[in-house]
Amino acid sequence: MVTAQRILDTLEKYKFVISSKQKKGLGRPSKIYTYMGGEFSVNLDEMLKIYQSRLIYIREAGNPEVSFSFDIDKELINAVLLKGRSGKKIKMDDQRGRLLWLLPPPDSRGETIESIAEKTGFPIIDSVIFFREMIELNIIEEVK
Amino acid sequence: MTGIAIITALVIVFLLLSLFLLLSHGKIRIKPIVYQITYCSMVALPLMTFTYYKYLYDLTQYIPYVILYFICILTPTLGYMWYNILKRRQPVFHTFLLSVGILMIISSVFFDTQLVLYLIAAGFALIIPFFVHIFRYPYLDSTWLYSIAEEIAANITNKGKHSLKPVIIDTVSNRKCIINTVGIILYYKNNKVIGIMNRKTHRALGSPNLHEFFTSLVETIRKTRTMR
Repeated sequence: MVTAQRILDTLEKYKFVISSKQKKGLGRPSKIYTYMGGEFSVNLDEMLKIYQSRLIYIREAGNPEVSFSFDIDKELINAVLLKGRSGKKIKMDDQRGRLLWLLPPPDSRGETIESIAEKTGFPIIDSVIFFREMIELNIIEEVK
Repeated sequence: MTGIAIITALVIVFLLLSLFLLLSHGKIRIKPIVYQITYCSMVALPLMTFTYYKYLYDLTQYIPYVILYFICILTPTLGYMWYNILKRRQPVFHTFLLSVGILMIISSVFFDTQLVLYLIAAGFALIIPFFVHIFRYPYLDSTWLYSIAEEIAANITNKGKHSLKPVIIDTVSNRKCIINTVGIILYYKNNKVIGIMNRKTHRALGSPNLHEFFTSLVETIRKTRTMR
């Protein structure tokens, strides 16, 4: 269902508008949006290229410097810790955490990005972009 | 006095070893037994010291130590079990019997009358069903599970990297429970098992492929007794 709030949230995501919270009296704080303008372009070639990557088999890299903070009951990864607890911490939202949770273990046959995305209901293109970021960080690897 | 204490300790060690041998169906392994004895000693040693000295000195001076013992050792030990129950990972009935039984035996040291014997007897009567339950389902025993894990790891030729991320294995089960041994934890959930192994145990078992290892382990447990 499309609502005004969802449209404004999407516009805010691409920085066409900026919001500021305002609290008046009882109830939740309201948001005041300021129009910023801008340009939006879609590169279909690039999107198709990303979409083609959905059939790549991926699995966890088994990097000894990476550890995970997870929730067994909710079945999701809360955060990825690079270089132990003293290193960088990448927090995950519920959907990305779920994607990582379903990732096959190291040295396994692997699974396609599409099948993992289908299990979580996360958009395939967003999943491919997310997994590419994780490959760059050496958290996951492609199965060749 | 010292001689009696040594004999008592030896008898306790003999009884414990017999119990381990019985519960693990003869598959004795040193590592999990050392862990279990250390765990039991943490509960038993302060009690033994306390019962020994209570006849010699004034009891009231040990009250802070007793409180510390209850807060630091006994509450976390029983608390962890009850936490798992609240999360529906452990059966209620047997844990209840075990907790009440242990508390009855422990509380018997505070009495000097005939009540002590009744309390100890009642405590053991409550604990025995717990051990019968473990004997019937050997995968609940840490020693048995570790020996099976060693056998499976030895049969897996594919080596693999370690990961701290849980491994998810699909299986047929409709019951939530938790099974663990030294460095290995298995969470049984609806139609899946979540396996976690620490780095040290992975190295000790010869770095087996995690997916193959957990698949074989879950299959062996399923064959032993279907999780219902």
